[in-house]
Amino acid sequence: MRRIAIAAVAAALGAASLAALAQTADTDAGDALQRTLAERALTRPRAEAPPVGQPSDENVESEINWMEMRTYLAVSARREIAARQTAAVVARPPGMRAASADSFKNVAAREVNVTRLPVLAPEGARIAQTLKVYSLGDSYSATAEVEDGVAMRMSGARRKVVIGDLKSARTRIAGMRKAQSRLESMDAPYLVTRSDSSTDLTFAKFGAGYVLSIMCDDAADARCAEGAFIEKLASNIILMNPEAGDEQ
Amino acid sequence: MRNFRSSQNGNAAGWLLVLIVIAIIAGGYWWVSNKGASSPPDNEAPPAGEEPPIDDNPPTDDIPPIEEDDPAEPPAEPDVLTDADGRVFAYLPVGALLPSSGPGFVDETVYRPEVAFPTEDPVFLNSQVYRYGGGMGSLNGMNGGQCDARNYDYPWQDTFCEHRDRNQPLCPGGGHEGLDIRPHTCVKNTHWAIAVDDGRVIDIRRHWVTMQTPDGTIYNYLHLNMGELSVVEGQEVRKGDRIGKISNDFFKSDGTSVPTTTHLHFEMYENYVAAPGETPLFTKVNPYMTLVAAYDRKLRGE
Ligand SMILES: [Zn+2]
Repeated sequence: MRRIAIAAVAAALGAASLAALAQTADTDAGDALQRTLAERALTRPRAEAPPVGQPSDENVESEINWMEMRTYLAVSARREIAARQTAAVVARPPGMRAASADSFKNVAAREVNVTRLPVLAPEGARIAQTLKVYSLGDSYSATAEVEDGVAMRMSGARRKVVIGDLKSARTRIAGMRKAQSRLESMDAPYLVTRSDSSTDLTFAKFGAGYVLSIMCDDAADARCAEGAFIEKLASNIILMNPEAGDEQ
Repeated sequence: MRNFRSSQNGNAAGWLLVLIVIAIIAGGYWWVSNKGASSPPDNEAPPAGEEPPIDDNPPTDDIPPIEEDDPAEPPAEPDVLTDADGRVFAYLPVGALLPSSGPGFVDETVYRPEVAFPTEDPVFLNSQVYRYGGGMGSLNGMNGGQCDARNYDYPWQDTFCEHRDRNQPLCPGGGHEGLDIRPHTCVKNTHWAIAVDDGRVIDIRRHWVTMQTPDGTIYNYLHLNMGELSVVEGQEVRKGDRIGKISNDFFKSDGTSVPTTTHLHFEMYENYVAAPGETPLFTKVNPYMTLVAAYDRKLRGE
C-alpha cells in the first residue's frame, strides 16, 4: 500500500515538473515578444510634441439633389408599372418607392421631417413592423429587425469628412471603388464590406452617403457571410420624405 | 464537497492516499489555471463571431492585475506622457499587428481631431484573441488567462483588420473592423465608457450601443453591461456623458450568451472623401490614430 502511494506521489511530481517545463518555454516566447513590442513602441513627449497622425482636413456639406430624388422616384414608379404589364414577371423590380412615416407604427414623423437628406430604408414585412428612425438633421439612422437572427441599420449623411490626399487614403478609396458594382434599385455603384460584427453595403445617391448594415447572430450565417442577402435587402428601398427639400 | 470516507478508518495508508489525492487535485488545478484551459487545439481556425470564444473563467472581483505588475518596469519619465496610474503611455504604429494575427491596415488619419477618448480610466488597446486568454494566444506563446498582468500594460497595439474568418475588401486577410480596448483592470462592470462626441443614441440591441453625430459619424460600443446602461435609445448625449460600464456582454438575438473577454470593442463609421467634390464612401474606418490622438489630449488634461 505504502509503495503504491509513494509511486503515485512520484508520478504526480513528475507530471508537475513536465508541466512546469512546458509552461516555462511558452512563457519565454510570449515574454520575448512582449519585450520586442516594448522596444518598438513610441511614447509622447510632454513638451513640444509633434502632432499625432494626419488630422482630417475639414468637413464639407454636400448639396442634396432633391430634383434628382423626385425624378428618380417617378422613373422607378414607371419601371414598376411596366414590369406589371409584363405577364411573366411576378416579383417587383428593384427600385425606390415613397412610403410616409405614418405608415410605420414605430416611426415618429417628426424624426423624418427634420432630416435634411432623403430618408431611405429597405422594404420588408418585419422591417416595417419594427422600423425606427432617429434624426440628427444632417444625418439619420433607421433600425429594424429583418428576420430571426438578423438586425439592420441604415444610415445616411450629407456632411463628408475630407481626409486629404494621403497616399494610403487614395489607395484605399481606389481599391474599394474597384470592387464596386451597380445597385439596381438606386442606379448607383455600391460596395459590400464584411467584418465580424456586421456586413455593410454602401452607396452614394442624391449627394448623400448611405450605409446599410446587417448584424447576424452568427457572423458565419450565410445571410451575413455572403453578399446575396444584403443585396436583395437593398433592392427595394423606401423613401420616407418625398416632399422634402432644402427650402423647408 | 469531496467525501473523505477513507480518513474515517484511522488507517495511516488511508491518510497518505488523501494527501496524494489533494496533491493531484491541486496540481491539476495549477495546470488548468496556468495553461491547459486556454490552449486551443493546434491548427484551429479563428472561430466566427465578433470575438472568438475564450475558454478561461470569467474574471472575479478579486483579481488586481495592476498591483501585481512587473516591478522591473522603468519608472515614469517626467518628459513623456504618463497615465493616471503613473505608467508611461506607449503605443505601436498603426497597422503593426501581433505576429500571425493579420495584415493590419495602415491609416494615419485622425478622422476626428476633437473627440474625447471613449473611456474614463486608463486602458490598454490590444488583442483579445492572439494574446493571453485569447483562443489563438498559443500562436504567440502567450498562454494564460485573460487577466494575465501582461495584458494590462502598454504598449497599445492596433487590432483593426485582425484576422478572423472571412475576407473582405478593406482587410484582405481577415475582418476585425474595430479596436479592442481593455480597461486598466480585469474587473468587469466597473470602468465607464463615455460618449466621444455630441450626438444621439440611435440603437441599443443585443450587446451594442450605437451613437451617431450630426456629421454622420457612427460610433459603436460593444460588450458593455447592457443591463445597466446610463442611456436609452433616442437620447441625445454630450461629449463625455457616461454610456455604460465595460463588460463582456455578448448576446444572440434570443438572449443566448456567447463568451468573450472583458473589453470594449469600438467601431467608427465615416462618410468620407479624399477631396471635397468627390462622391463619398460611408464605411467603417480604422479609429486607431483618432484614439491615440484623443488619449494624448486626455493625458495632457486637455
Ligand atoms: Zn473586437
